[in-house]
Formats: sequence, C-alpha cells, structure tokens
Amino acid sequence: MTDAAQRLAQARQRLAAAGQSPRRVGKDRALAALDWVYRWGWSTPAVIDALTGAKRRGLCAKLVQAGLLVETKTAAGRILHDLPQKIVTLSDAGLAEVERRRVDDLMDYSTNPYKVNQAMLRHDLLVQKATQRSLQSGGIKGFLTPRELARKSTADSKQADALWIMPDSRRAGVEVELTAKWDRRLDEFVWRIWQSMTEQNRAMDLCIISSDSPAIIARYKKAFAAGQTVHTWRKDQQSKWHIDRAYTVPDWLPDRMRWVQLKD
Amino acid sequence: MGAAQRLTAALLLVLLAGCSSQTEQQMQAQIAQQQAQIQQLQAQVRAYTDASERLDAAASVYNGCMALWGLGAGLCPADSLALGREAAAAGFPGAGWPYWLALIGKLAAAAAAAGAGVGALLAGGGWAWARIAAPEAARTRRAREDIAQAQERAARAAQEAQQAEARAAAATAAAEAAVRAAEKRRAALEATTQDLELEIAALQGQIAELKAEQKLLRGFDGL
Repeated sequence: MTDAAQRLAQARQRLAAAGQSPRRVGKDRALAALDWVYRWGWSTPAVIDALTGAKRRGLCAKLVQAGLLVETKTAAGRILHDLPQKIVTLSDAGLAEVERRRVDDLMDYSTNPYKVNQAMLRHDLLVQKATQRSLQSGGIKGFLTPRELARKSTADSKQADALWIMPDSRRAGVEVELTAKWDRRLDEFVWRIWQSMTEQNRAMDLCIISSDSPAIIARYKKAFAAGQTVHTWRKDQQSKWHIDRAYTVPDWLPDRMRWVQLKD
Repeated sequence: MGAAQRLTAALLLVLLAGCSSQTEQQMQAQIAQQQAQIQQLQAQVRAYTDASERLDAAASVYNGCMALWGLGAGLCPADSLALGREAAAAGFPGAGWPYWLALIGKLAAAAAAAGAGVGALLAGGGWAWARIAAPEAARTRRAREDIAQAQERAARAAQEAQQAEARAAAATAAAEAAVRAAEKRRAALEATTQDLELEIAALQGQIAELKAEQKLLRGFDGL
C-alpha cells in the first residue's frame, strides 16, 4: 500500500470512529460552502476552498460543476491583481438547497450575479477573507454578514461590514475603510459607531477599523479621540444637509476602538 | 601610788643619785628582794579581794533571804545565812546580784511550798521582774523596734505592691491597646488583600480579553 493510500485508509478509520464517512464529510463541506455564499451574497473560489479547510482546490469547482454555484468573471479582475477574477453566487438549485435547511432566518437572495456591486468587490472580499481566517484560527466562534445585519440595524446604529462573535461572546464590529470619509460622512461614521456601543444599544463591544491607508487610519483615530466634536446632521426640506447638534466624543470610546493596518 | 610603784621610784632615785657606796650586785639583790615582796603583796591583795567579793556575795544572799521582813527566810540554806549575817555585820553592803537571786529563789520556793497564787505571783513577779521584766522590758523595747521595723517594711511592701499592681494594670492596658491596634492593622491588611485580589482578578480578565483580541486581529494578517 502506498503512503497516500495508507493515509487515506487512516483518515477513513478516524472518520468511522467519529461516526462519520468521507461522503458525509464531503456533503457537509458542500453545504457549508453554499451557506457561506448565501450569507455573504457572493464569494470567490479561493475563499470557498479555504473555508472548508480543503488542502486542495476543487470544492468550488465541483459545486459549480454540480450546478449549485454559478461562476462569473469580474470586470476588472484581469487588470487589478488584488481583485478576484471570478466570483461565485448561488444558482437556483443551490439556493433551494440552502433554504430547505434553514429554520426561520431566510433572507432575500438574488441569484443574478450581475447584481453584485463590483465596485465593492475588493472591500467585501477583504471582509470575507478576514472573517474566514479568524473563524478558522479560532479567533471568532461566529459572525454576522452585512445582509444579516441589515435585518437588525436601527436608525442610529452603524451597520458594520461584519460582526464577529468572539469566544468570550463579545461582539466586534469590523469596518474596512479603503477610501476616506469627510465632513458629514465622517461625522455619521463616528456617531453611528459610537451609538452602537452605548449602554442602551450594545450592538457591539468594540470596533475594528482596518485600512490599507496609514493616512486614513491616522485621520480616523483623530476623529475618534476623546474630546473631539462630532456633529449630527439633518436634511432640510430642500434635501440639503445641515449640522443639527454637536457632541463630544466620550473618554471610553477610543478604548473600544482597534486599528489594523492592512498591507498595501 | 602603789607600794610597788613607790619602791620602783625609790630605786630609781637611788640610781640617779649615783650612790657609789653600794656595789651593783648588792643593788640587784635588793631589787630582786623588793620584787618578790611586791609579788607577795599582790597575791595578798588578790586574796583579800576574792574574800571580799565572797563575803559581799554572802551578804547579798543573806540580805535577799532576809528581805520582805524575813518572809521565807527559812527557805534559804542555813550556812549561807550564817556567813552572810557575819559579813553583813562586818559592813559588807550585800546589794549585788546574789541579793536578787536569793530573793527570787526564796519567793519561788515559798510559792511552790505554799501552793498559793499570791506567793506564786510574788515569786513569779519577782522572778518575772528579775528574769523577765527587766530583760522583758528590753525585749519589749526590741520587739517594739522590730514591730516598727516590720510595719515599716510592710508599708514599703504594700507601696511596692501597689506600684507593681499599677505597672501591671498599665502593661495590661498597653497590651490590650496593642492587640486592638494589631487587629485593626490585620483588618486593614485583609481589606487591602481583598482589594488587591479583586484588582488582580480584573487585570487577569483584561489580559484574557487582550489575548482574545490579539487572536481576533490575526484574521487580518497577510491581507
């Protein structure tokens, strides 16, 4: 028996001891991949393959081949190296497979891959990759995607790019900032994150802001510094924005912020 | 100046006069003779003195026996009375201690013979006076002195005891105060220990949180 065959036999024995079979494991991996795409809206072959822990690529291709996923080429993927060349979405069959296993947390899912906002591909992919890695390393035990958060968001609280559930059950909001915000948008960004962490609305316990721009991180750190003024805005009848009120950033808010410099 | 001394002085005068008519040997012979005479005279003096003392003592006994109007004289020895009578008649005063001894002895014998309380009292009184009262007075005086000294010592002891008691009370109070202070310090240390334990627990909690966040942020590694 070759080494590979021997290893395969040993793996089958371990599965059998755990009451599982290779077929069962394969099916579970496939369902996990489909569920991931359902929750995020789309994903990439690399993320799907990494998600299931497969050492070799192939799961995503198999799902596409099985008609459960649809593979679509991206517009700028061939030009920009940090953009995926292909994305995958659920097919009708894949959607059906996912929904028949869900109890009551169904979401409105479009199987049209061109409804995916390709301008946000890099941003959303960074969030997916960070989530998948944290999940696999044990840094988090669960997460909520923007689609899931959209169902629970309130007017003042910020809908994060993702919400990570830590092993100690603390919730960390994840924000990936690739472009700088200014004036009203920056005020709203600070205000909504602040309101998401008040005692009255503990939507998150801390907030991770990541960016590949050191300048953005420096600017946002300053905006979140204790004592800084943040304005709320209101729109008038002509739909023009005006400063409504001014607030001072409390001392505790900077302690709840975490900053990550992404590599360029 | 005694006889011996007069003789010695005469001899010295003779020697100093430088009498040359007598030879040295003759002088030495005369001196020896004179010295022998002196010694003889001294022995006679001693004998006379002893005799005088004996006769005075006998007179004392006689007087003691004949005291108190001769009461109980028959109790004294007859030969003592005879000698003492003659001595008293010869002019010996007879007032020495044998007088008292004889008197007391007579009284005691009289009391014992009569078996009477009065006689016993008289004898006892006399005996008491002679043997007890007089020395008793001295003993009483000494006893009083002893009592006074003992009282003085007792007073000093009482004072020392009082002072010792005061010192003991002060020491007890100080010890109790020290115990209270130590208890207070112990309670404060216990409270501080509890505070520190709480602080440590809080810090350990913070460390655990920070480690969890460190692991969390590794999700961005390589991105």
